[in-house]
Amino acid sequence: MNDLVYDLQRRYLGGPVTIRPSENLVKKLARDPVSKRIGSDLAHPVARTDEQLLADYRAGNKASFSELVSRYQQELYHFLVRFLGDRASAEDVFQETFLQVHQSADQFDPKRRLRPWLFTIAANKARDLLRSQSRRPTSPLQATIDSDDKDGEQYIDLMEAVVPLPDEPMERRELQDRVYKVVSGMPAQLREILLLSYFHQFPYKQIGDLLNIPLGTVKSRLHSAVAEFAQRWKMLNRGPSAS
Amino acid sequence: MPKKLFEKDAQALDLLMETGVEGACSESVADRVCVVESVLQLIGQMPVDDPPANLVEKTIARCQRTPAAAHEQYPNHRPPLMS
Repeated sequence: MNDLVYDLQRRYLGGPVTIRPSENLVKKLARDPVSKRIGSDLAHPVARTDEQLLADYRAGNKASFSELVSRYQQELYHFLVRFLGDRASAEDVFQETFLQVHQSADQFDPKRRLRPWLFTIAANKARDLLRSQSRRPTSPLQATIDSDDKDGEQYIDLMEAVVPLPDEPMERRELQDRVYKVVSGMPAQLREILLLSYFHQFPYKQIGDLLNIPLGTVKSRLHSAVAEFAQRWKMLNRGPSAS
Repeated sequence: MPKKLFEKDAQALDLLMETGVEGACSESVADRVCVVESVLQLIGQMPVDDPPANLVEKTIARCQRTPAAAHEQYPNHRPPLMS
């Protein structure tokens, strides 16, 4: 419930806000098994901000850290599994990310937002993992990371990647598999910026801070990512393996 | 070879991403927004697995096994400064 409230707040209100629940809502939440696990939070406003949770954790409230991990388990795991391409690596980096939050909690500036910090840590660790895998000669990821040829430029017509989304579940599933194949095969830095901007809706400015790159680079990299996707989509669907 | 978008597509993409408006494909907006939005919707079809059921518990357990402020174990992962 808190996850849902938080997500809605972030999407539509630009960030967490303090909402005092009605008595009926508090009673309903008290009967809900997930909310019961959160426990004492029900006596307080529904959604404490991430920053408040971390501050509470620093003050000794261990349950706050647990709530923070729960709050981000879907979103951060989804980012990592899409970025890294396998569940085991995503799980490991997820754990390492929170391990660093746990270890560095005292260094966090409470005036800052926690979510970008969390994603910065996760993205750094995920990138390190991809780099270490690319150094192994047998790694299948090597080709995708090293495939950026710097010679010349190619303009892509996006119209060639426009397809109607099928309603039929089987066709939809096939299309999803092909999208997965295309995005997974993209160079890591393009995949990363596509995930952060489109799937996780970070503003350009925050992505710049997160990846430590200028705003202009954020834009040009995202443009390249969409162009790369369109080109690969076109090739996949033209190729002999297209279904 | 690096891929690029045509200028109008790039502008349409920036508009969509920065305003965050879905369904901006209307008569009042440049026609390229519709094209870019269609491509983004296609990308949005990328499936994703849900986290394992015990991910939170395993994460908490791993943190509990490790004392806080052991930064020397992670020389390459100092907490980034967010501006």
